[in-house]
Amino acid sequence: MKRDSVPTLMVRAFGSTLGMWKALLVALALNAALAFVLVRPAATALHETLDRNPWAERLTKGADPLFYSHFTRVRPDVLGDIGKLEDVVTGTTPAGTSARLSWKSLLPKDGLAGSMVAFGLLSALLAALLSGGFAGRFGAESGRSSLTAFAEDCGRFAFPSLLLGVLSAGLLIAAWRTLYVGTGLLYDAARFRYEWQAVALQLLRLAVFLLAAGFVRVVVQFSRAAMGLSGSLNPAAAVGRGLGMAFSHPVGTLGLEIFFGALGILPLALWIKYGWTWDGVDRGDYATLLLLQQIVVLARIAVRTAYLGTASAWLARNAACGTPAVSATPLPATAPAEP
Amino acid sequence: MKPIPASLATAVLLLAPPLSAGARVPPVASYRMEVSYDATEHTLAGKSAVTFVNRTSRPFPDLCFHLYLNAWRTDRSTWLKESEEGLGRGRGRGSAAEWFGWSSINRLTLADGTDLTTGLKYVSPDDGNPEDRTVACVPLPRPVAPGETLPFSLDWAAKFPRTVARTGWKDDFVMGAQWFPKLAKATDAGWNVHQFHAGTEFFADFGDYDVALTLPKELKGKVGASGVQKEETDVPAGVRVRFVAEDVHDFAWTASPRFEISRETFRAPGLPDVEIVLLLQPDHRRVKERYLAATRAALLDYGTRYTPYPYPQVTVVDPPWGAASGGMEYPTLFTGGASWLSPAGTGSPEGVTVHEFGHQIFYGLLASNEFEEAHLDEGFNTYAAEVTMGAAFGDPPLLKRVFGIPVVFRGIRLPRPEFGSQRYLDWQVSSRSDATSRPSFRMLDGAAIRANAYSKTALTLASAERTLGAETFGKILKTYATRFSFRHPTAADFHSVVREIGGEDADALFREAWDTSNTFDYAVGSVSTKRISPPVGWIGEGTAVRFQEKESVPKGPASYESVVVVRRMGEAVWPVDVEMAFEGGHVFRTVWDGKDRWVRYRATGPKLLSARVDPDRKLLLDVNVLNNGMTIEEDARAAGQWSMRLRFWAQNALEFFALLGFVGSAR
Repeated sequence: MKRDSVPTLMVRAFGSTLGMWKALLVALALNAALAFVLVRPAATALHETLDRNPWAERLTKGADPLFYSHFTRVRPDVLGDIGKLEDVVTGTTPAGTSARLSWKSLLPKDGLAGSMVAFGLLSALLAALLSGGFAGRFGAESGRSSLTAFAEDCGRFAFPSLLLGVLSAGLLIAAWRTLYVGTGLLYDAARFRYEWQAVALQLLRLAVFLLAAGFVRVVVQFSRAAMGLSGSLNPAAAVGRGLGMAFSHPVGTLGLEIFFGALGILPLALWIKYGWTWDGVDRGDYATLLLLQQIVVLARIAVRTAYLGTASAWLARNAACGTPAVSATPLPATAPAEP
Repeated sequence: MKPIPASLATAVLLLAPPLSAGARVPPVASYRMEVSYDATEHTLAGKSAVTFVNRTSRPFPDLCFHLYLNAWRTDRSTWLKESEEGLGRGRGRGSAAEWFGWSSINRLTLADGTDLTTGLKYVSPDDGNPEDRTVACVPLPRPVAPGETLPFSLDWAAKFPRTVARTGWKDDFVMGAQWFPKLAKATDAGWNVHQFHAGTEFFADFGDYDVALTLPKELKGKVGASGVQKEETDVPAGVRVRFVAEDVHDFAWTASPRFEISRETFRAPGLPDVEIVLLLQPDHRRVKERYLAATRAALLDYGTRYTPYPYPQVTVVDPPWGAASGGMEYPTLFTGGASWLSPAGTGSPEGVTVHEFGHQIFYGLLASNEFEEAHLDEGFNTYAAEVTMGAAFGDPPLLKRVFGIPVVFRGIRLPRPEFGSQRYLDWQVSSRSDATSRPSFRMLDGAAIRANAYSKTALTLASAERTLGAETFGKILKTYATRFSFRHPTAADFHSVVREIGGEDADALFREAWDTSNTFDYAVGSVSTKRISPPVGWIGEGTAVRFQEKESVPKGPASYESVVVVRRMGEAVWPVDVEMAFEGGHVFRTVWDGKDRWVRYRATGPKLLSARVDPDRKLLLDVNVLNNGMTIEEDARAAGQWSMRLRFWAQNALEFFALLGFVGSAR
């Protein structure tokens, strides 16, 4: 039997993903709703500050660091400790001993920054829940566009999906905290003779973290795909399949991870390049801008869904071609039928 | 390395001809030193022939010395205790022996051979800490009378710590700063002597320095120091280099076999030629020209605006990575600081170069008391450096280091001088614990020291410049700098110049800013405008009296009565402009002295559109500029636009979080 190549599987996965457009819109709507609630206090504060303020005119022309500094000083409650979020994004780690490794020192508590952490975890849980639906639909041979079937799969796989989500989140956060932040506390960068040595080591720590994170993501991604394909609600068996794929195809699966990682960033990169300066002040512009923003986010959701689809198709292909499966869990002869 | 025999060195020093005074200022404390440095143990063995000339009006019954390296002798020193309490700005130190240093006077003799060593006592005039050994005093057999010269010699030894507070060693780099036993400052009130504090700097008399250093031979040709190098000779112990610095109040040196040394001559019409000597790290070759360009810009701008740099040479030291020696000034020598990756146009290393050069004027020449009035150096120079940087290099873009790699946001410019002084505004909102005029070592914490000495003073000067006018303000600073060069001015001296040129009102600005920690905050409290209608009620006289009802639609040309209330929300007072903008492009401006808690303006005519207080941002000390204006009409566009952007970025951030649970790929 001729084996389809992984790129072919990816193309098909994208096609299947587009077929689930209703579910994708649900994911987008949930994302937008969370963001709306999250940003609401800040938006209100901005209106209170700007609606009758001459500063508003300056701000319609672009970012103003002076406004930002005064706003964060006068209303520290609104954005909260953005610096800590910035530290995470820029890879700045606390200097000193491991006593500085506490969550309190690493994560913001107040304002938008603090809420972001809570909402982020909620978003992760929702994503885990929805992924059960997507995995189930990828495992089905038909009815991929059915929102009802998607919802049923979300419900059916809710527990193992959440379990996998918690496992994934826990491992990724632990990897960040130990492999990147923690290793930074093991040495004093100032002791190096040259700065480039310190930077190189920092990048190495990042690379180690990314490698570990990539591995975790591959394992959990394929576990979820296996769950969808088999219909099994046993997360341990699914993780076994995921581990099997990660170990038997380390280059291919990590390559897939890198490819979809880059593809997921692409819409945002394009937006930063071309969409950032668009002011959206006029009402017509505002609507267009809002639409384009949602397309960017939708594209990112679609990419991560297509990744799951590719994983699912890869597992299915291996099963169909008789590639020995590491896990003993048998694949079903037929996928669940459309209700 | 073996030190030079003590007896021989002492003989050489005492037989040498007396130090000649420099051309610019009669010397008070002059030093001829013969020092050897052991690069393995990081120890110093020195002989100093010191000439003290009492140019005050009072006799001195004793001598007092700073032994600054004792700040790191034990963890009970005042410096380390204060540093632990957050008064300093040092980075984390270890507790290993390498982090500790010491300094001791082994022998102190007068020219007639009288040995005073046993009389040396450590004193702690500031905090009474019995375990602090950064100041030592010794009684004299008889007082040094006014006008009298007292020569004496010191045998001393010291050990550098791993670099802390810009002194010590790191790998093969050594920075010799605050490294030798040094006389306290003689004043008409006696010795002005303070312990070494974590948040303060120095104060000393001018004099002439003739310093010979014996160093390992691998440091030959790789040494920089205050003054000008006069000799370099091979000796059995290594290499002996001699530097002479005249009319200075301190002496620092540095060496590293990795230094790449380049020289160029600064020439500009109306200014003296200056040799720029740059000691560069090999991994910073790419910023060599930027160091030199910044030094040239500073020599030109400071020389033109304030007073010319009077010495023949300035030495720019580029310290290595992790040396904790960057950004510090010593007479005719300063340390900069560069990153391995320093994108062009970001102001680094230019900013630190201009700033540290600037200290050559405010610290080097004016030489105020940095223990007690740190702002006269740090704050004035912060202001001046911002001016020079703005003129020469413009506003810097936002720069962030992402995993150690610099990322420049060239579309976002950080306006000078406001953005560089944000920490004062942050501190003012969160603490405002101390007035600027309070001695730094008496302030609550390091944030108070830095906010006052640097940012607040700089913002005060910039605000005064904008309020008094550039011409008047320029004259004030130029007069101050030229009149008080080599004279250790106090804040009172500066105030006298301000009064002389700008008057009492001008001086009141500085007193308001520096003598209290009060907050500056002016705001537009309310604005209103309403169309004027004919009066409602009984009008006319006598039999012609009639009742006029309210017109639903006023007739005639529209005229409005507008009311603006401007408020002083903070305690501090500063005169501010008030601007009202009306329909038809009419703008009314007035100056409010800002003294009352509020003022109400009424205007009749076109419809009022908006009101602003301090529209030109003259008062940079204002802690909240968001309340400086108010419009009549509501316009939600800006807030809507930025809220939408925030929502979009929140959506994307949530997508990042989603990958934790979904393990999709959208990172």
